[in-house]
Amino acid sequence: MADDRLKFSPWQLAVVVAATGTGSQIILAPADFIKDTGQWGWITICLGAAVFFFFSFLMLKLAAAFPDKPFTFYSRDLAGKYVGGFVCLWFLLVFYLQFCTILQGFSRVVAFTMFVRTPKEAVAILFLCLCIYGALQSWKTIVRIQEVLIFTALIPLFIMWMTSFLNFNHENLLPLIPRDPVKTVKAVYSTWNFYSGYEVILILYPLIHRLGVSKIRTIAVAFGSMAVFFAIIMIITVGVLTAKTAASLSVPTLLVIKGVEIPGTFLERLELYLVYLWLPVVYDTMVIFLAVPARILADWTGRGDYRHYVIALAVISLIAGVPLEYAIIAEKAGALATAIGVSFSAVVVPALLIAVKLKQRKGKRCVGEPV
Amino acid sequence: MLRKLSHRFPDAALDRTAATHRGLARLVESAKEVTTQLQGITRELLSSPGGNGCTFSADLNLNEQLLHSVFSGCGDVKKRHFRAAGRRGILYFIEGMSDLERIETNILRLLEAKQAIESHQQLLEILPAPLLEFTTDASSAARDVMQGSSLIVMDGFEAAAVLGTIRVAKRDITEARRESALRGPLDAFNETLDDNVAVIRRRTSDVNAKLRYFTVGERAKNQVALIYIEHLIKAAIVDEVSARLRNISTDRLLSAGSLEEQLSEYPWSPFPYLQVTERPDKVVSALYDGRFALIIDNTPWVLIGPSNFQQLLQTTDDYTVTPVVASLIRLTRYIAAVLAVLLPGFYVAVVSFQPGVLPTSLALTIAELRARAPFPAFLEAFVMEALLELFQEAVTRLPEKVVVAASVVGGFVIGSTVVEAGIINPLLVVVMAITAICSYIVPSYALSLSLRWLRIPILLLASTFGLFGVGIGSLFVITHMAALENFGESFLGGLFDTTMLQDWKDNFVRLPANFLRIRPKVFGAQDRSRSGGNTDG
Repeated sequence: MADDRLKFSPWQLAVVVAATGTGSQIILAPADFIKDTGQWGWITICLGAAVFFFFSFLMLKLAAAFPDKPFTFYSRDLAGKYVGGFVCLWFLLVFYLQFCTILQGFSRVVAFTMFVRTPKEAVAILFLCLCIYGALQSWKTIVRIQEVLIFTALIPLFIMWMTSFLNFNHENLLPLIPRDPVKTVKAVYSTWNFYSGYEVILILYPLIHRLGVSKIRTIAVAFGSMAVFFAIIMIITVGVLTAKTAASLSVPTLLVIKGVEIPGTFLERLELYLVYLWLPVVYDTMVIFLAVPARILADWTGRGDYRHYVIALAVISLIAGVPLEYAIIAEKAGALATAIGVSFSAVVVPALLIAVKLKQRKGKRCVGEPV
Repeated sequence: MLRKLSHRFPDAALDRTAATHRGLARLVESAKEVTTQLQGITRELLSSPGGNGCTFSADLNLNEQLLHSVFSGCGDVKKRHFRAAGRRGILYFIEGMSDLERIETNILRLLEAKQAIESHQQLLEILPAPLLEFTTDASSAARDVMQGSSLIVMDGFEAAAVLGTIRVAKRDITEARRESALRGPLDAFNETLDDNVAVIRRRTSDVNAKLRYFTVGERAKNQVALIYIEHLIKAAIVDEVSARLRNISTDRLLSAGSLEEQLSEYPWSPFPYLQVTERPDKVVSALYDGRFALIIDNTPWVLIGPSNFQQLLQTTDDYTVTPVVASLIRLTRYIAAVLAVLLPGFYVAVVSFQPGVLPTSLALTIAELRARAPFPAFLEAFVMEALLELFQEAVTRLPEKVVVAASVVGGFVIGSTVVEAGIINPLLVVVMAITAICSYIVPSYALSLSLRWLRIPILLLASTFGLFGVGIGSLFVITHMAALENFGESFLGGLFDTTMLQDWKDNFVRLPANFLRIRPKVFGAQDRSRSGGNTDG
């Protein structure tokens, strides 16, 4: 399969983190999020960026203690065979549950927006085929895809989104200071849905060049960019629709862009173009969310070839998607994915870091390096 | 009393004649088998490593028998007996490939006029032929004869003399026919390897421009020259391409295309593996970017590698016009390449699934036009695509004088008739015409063919999933392109590569020469500076 041995630059790692984070949630997440945060969502987004950047920093520290080993190996070194195995499973679920829920949400929105008769299952199967093809590729290829799509899809999508400023009403954002700061801070928990994907650091770290720019700095830039992007989405959504209206809609972002009328142009029904540009953005997230669990399983089971797992996991996700059609189950699954994701970053990673420190004190030195 | 003739001549009896015939037939069959076995033995001897299996001796008769066996069935190989200084000798040559006048005046007359020839040294003094070599290896001598040299075997000499009397029938160096440039050099390669090497050497007197010859084709023994700039190209690339050339297993190599296929790691990919050119200036430019070129004897097409998507979209004229204009033209090419693949798919998707993205007036006009056509949009597009392919294929194969007539028939007669007959709607004709023009804008014919091929699956996806299908198809293509590698380098090259920001200066756009003082990073040139000094530029 070649080239997983080739090294990436720290900036490419930042591209992967930013491209993976900026995925489906830009259209799927705002409704529930605005329910929790009101017009102060953008503040929560910024706080979330700081919190999850901190967790990324911990991950970089952890990975730096084992610079040449993938997470699946050193987690068992640190936590023992069984607990380490459980940690690997946890890590796998962080990505895979997201994959299953996003696949359902994405196919629902696409089928609703773009088709009249085509069932969402057909959309999901076609998209899954694409994800399988992407996830079968080497890391080098996946990183190149992410780079290409940032420029060809994410930036145009951002530009298109900015056209919503035509309908922006700043009064909808007022007052700027949150009435209930505790609620605003509490909602940081759910911003994980926006930033999730940074956990890929643990997998890609051994493939990153040791020299050059600091990885912490590049990851900080990635989180900064994501925070600006998401904050603008929140500000525009609320500014155009008001927090109350946005919270009552299932996909408020589509309604925001639907209301845009660009005078004197050829373009109509911008929401179709938005969904068209959203497709590659979701794709680069989903490729990571499928490729990482497959590689974890391949490492875990000691089989070098991850390709069987890519196909198996994709098929299972399709079957798992059947109960997710029910809104309550989908909501619970989303909550479970968030809980698993946040707890992994907030509990498992710090615990493993403590284990590293303890081992170092006992004299079992880990091969560390500055990040 | 009448009696059978066999009574008088018992040996002429029918049954005995038949038995004799059968015996003879068996004998002929056995003889054939023996001949086949002998030919096999001769072949093995000739192809034995180092050529030790089949050597000349001092006995002319033995040498004649040996060469008779080697050249059996080669009607074009001629031999001529002569006597020189009391010794018998035989000259072997191929009539169409050897310079007969030179053989007659410079070899035979001189030899026959000589009174004594006792050693090879004396032969060297007598014969003025520039490429005179002595060999005892019959197989290599036979190969030389097959390439146009003359072979002299003489009684009492253990070694045969091979004389360079090659007369090659070749085409002159003419203007580029497929890759014309408005302001660039006009000369192009021809089918002769030495000429092609010479036109490259004429453009660079760099002693670091190295040339390695390889023989490819176990039977035809075709020559391939690998040319590169030492200390510039990555050493691993030279090793890799040399190894692949050595490992090619084929009996003959007739075209650049077949060599490209032999070297390719992705035989199922629609994209070209290596860049093909007939322009020497393009080759030299590529060499100084840290790339290599493969010149194949008997073809005017030279392969350049590693190749990537951007290189396939560049032309010589990008560097002969001002940077601003060149940048605009390049951007146009990229857009054209995208449209050449996606435009028919977009049409089908918009018309069949998402007419809402069009302004209402245009959507109504299209609906009105479509109402007259009996077929669904996909079938219409497919018919037009098939017609377009038929015309393109016909125009490619036809003689130049007939092409104009075929274009008129195809473009005007059929094009307008299918519209008037109400089979195809006029908007689709416009769409397909734009698509065709876009694919013609792509400078690489091989890439243009790839894009034409990719239109079909995109069209199928568009007809089933609308714009979503077009998007999925595009992402499949991007993923495939990102996965392709070319001697270790990505087929996407430095396209959107954040680690190669310096290469972006000569990528989608071309900056002025002052900004292009370093070589592209994408090919891993060992000396980045074009001025030969600072490597960081």
